[in-house]
Amino acid sequence: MDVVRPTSPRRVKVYTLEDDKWMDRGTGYCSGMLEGGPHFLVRNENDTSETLLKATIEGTTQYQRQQDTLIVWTDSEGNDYALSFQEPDGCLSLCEFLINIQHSVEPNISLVAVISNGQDGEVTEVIAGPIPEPCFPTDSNLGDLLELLNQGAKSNKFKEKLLEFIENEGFLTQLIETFHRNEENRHLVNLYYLCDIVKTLVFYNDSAILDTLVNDDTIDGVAGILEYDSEFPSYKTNNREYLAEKTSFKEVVPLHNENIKSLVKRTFRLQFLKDVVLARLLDDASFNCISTMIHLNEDQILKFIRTDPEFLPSLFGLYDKHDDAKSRDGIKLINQFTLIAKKFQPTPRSDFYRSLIENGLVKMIQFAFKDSHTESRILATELIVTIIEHDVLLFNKKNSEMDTTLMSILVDVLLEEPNYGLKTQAFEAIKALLDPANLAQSSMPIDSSPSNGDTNIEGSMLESKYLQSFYQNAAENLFGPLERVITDPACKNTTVTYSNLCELLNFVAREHDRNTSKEFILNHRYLQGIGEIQSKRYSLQLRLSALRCLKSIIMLDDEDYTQHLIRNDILRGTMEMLREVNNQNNLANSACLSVLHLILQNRELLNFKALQKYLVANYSHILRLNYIGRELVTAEDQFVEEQDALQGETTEVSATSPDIPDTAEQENPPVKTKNSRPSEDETVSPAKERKLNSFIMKAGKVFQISNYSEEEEVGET
Amino acid sequence: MLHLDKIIEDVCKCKIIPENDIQELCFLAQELLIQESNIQLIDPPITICGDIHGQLHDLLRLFRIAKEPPTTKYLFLGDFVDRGFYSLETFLLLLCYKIRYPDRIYLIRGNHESRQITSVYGFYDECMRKYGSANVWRYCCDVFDYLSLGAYIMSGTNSDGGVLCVHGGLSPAIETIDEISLIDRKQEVPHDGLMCDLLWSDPEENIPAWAVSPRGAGYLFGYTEAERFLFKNNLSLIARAHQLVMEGYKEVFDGGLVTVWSAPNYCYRCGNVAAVLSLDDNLNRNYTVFDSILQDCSEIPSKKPVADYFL
Repeated sequence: MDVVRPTSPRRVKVYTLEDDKWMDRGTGYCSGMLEGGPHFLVRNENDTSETLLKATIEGTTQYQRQQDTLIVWTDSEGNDYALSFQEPDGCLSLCEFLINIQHSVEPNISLVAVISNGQDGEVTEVIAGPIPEPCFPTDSNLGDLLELLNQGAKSNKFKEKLLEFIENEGFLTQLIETFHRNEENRHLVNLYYLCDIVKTLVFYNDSAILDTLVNDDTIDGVAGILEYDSEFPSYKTNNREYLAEKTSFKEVVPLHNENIKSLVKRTFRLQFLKDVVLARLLDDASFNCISTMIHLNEDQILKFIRTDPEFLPSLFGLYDKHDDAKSRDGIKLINQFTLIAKKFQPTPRSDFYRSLIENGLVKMIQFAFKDSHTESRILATELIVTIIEHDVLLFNKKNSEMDTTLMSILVDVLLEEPNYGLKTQAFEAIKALLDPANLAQSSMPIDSSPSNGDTNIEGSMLESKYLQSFYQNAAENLFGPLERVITDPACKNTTVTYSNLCELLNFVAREHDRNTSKEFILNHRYLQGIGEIQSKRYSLQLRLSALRCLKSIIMLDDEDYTQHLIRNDILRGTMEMLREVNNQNNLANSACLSVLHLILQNRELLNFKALQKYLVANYSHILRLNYIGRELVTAEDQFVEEQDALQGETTEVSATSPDIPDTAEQENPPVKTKNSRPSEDETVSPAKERKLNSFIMKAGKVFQISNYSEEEEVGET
Repeated sequence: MLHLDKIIEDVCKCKIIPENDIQELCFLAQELLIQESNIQLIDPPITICGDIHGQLHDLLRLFRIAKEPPTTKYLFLGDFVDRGFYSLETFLLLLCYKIRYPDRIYLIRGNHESRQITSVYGFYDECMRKYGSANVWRYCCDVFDYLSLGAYIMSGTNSDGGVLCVHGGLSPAIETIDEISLIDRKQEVPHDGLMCDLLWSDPEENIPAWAVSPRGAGYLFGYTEAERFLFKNNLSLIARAHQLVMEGYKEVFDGGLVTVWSAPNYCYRCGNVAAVLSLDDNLNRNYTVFDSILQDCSEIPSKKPVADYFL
């Protein structure tokens, strides 16, 4: 219990209000006193025998704390007083005194803090005050009850008392009974009050209350009450109907644990409240409160599923029988859990996915891809993507080798599936499987060697072994179509499939070990195929995908690729497209120009110079049609002139033709280049000043790179 | 064959549109958008609208107030999706109109038209809730990649200069509008660079030139930079969206830049009004302000419940 003690004297100015003016009544020291009933006593600082103020603390007076140093009140006779303290500390000490008095001697007084909130005025916050008795809802007191609950939110002590009352005394049951009565009598005003009462309870952000709201015997009433929102008087939602009719808790395999069963239902109801019924109302705090509850429940549910000895085996056992309907529901079930697990920390997530795989997930996947229902295939692919995006090695039997059964299923889907969404999913899954970055993040043990080993080397060995199995077993199937004649060039299916192949090809060229992927790509006619795809027979979307693939190959700044492009005249298609779209102000035009711009920007690099020479030699008539192309032609002409001049001076020395890039490399002085690496549309930003002064190794030679100059680049265009 | 009228009718009633129809719509939209340039040239008169953010019912109200296409020619400055509960319907309705009246409605890309942002701010979840898989979201994201980055409105009769419309603002990477044409825009919105800045930057009255943006992408640009860009490109106005304005629109930099916001009572609780900007043949500005009132809609805006729940 609070023990009340008199306070030490604090320096203060006393004011009283007369004719709307605050009058200074002198300065002195104020103490909170108990003798003869609680009161404030202020003695004059110059003459301690003189009492400036003696004010009894009694009755139903409301004391206001304003700013940090003022206590203001009106006594029972209507006189206004203000104590202005010299120190905030003094004010605080007297406020504490008031609080103690309220808690022990005079429960009817109250203390509120008046806080100014910017331009909008003031809010009052109850610090201490009489706590009204909570009451049960009846038809006639709902307005007062709502007011009471709103008050309750402002004081912790009050809130605690209310929460206890609501949880223990069957308050909700009575509330719901009142609701049914008023709904029957069509008493709309009361129905709106009830709705506001439940909303107020939700905003208490108390998990115990929220838990009571979603009980089996309360949820229907609560959902019903929330159908009557005074904000939308002419609308009524149909929460109850939805809960009763539209939700079906499908039990795919029997669940023998009643606790978990109930938890699943409660979680669904919380989700329903959060996402549907209360979606527009929830502020961040309430949203987070409900989300946390849902998360904790889901954690328990998934833990049960993972560890229960019967659940997963009997679920995947379904795929040994031949019950298509159940099998399809099983896919939905697992997909749902997979998505829930996505929100979890990496370790429990891996644990969950691994237990799915160990219990026979592959059986389910095999069923799904043979199923005629597209939905099954979509969901199965979705869950494969989810799992491999989390950990690419989970699916593999041996850690270091790619599981090519999975890969070949996905390749089949990408190449054969008529559903475009599914194709794209398969593409995403394949890309995830091929991404070395995913490999590095895998949680699977890499090797049994001691942890102080060089993980970098282990990692790259793992990578090369893993990717080798791709190139040996799956890559030709995947990219094969690029070498074949496309029978139906303009159809959408072709567009989707081949656009994805273009993207995958440049992905492996860019992200995999350069020599491995390059050898594979250049030993096939894939780039020729991609060059071919730029021709007019194909859809513009696909032609541009091919263009982007070639552009990204160019950006690799690789001599072998560059020579391959030149030798096979692969950019012919690009140039034809450029001619075709030259006068059009559209995306295709921009895409073509961006390739020319890329070459122009980096023309000091040997590979780009070679491309420039090749394009100008063969396609200057097309290049001259637009301003970037003209710059390219001019640049090449200038270069040739310079070379000729140089040749004139050094004819005796050089026997080789100087303008063939390959051989020029042998004798030419180190070329000053502008950029360290090919750059495209680089932005000029004062905040991110790019000052590169680096070296690159190329063909055994070191070239110094000069400062990258922002102004020059902008000036070019 | 697509029955556009039927789809428009169903979308307005928030009925679920079959996945195949959406895929078809998205494909048609790609074919149209691929023919548009990075900065689309448009003649006045035109009505410019800012962020919509999935507030379908407010978009329908906007069309009632400012007249439906093709009666009025529209330019939407991006951020069609996320936050509100009807991102999909909002985007589909705009696509339907685009396909039906390609020269009467123009859509440019906002920072929310991106895979990464929509995965976080609601559109992805909405598609998952409505369809049980993310394919509808994938189709829409593919269309996002084709959207123009801005528009340029040039008056034949007014020599004071045209109007540049983008979602966010300027970029320190460029000095002239022409430079924007060298971007191959069909890609996810990058984390930095010109394309990112156009969609992410904000004007700031209290600084002269460039500053780091608190958003983590794009820049803040001040009076002198805006002034310089207007002068150099012979512009009378930069019209953009991207920031909530309680009054619906706000002109800054001596009327050289305006922010237009078209989602009233943003997130169903901000209490703001919305506005659209109409430019007449001489590029004179006329703002129409409106608030959020539910009219003729069949339900209170809310999220759709999940389709199935399993045990």
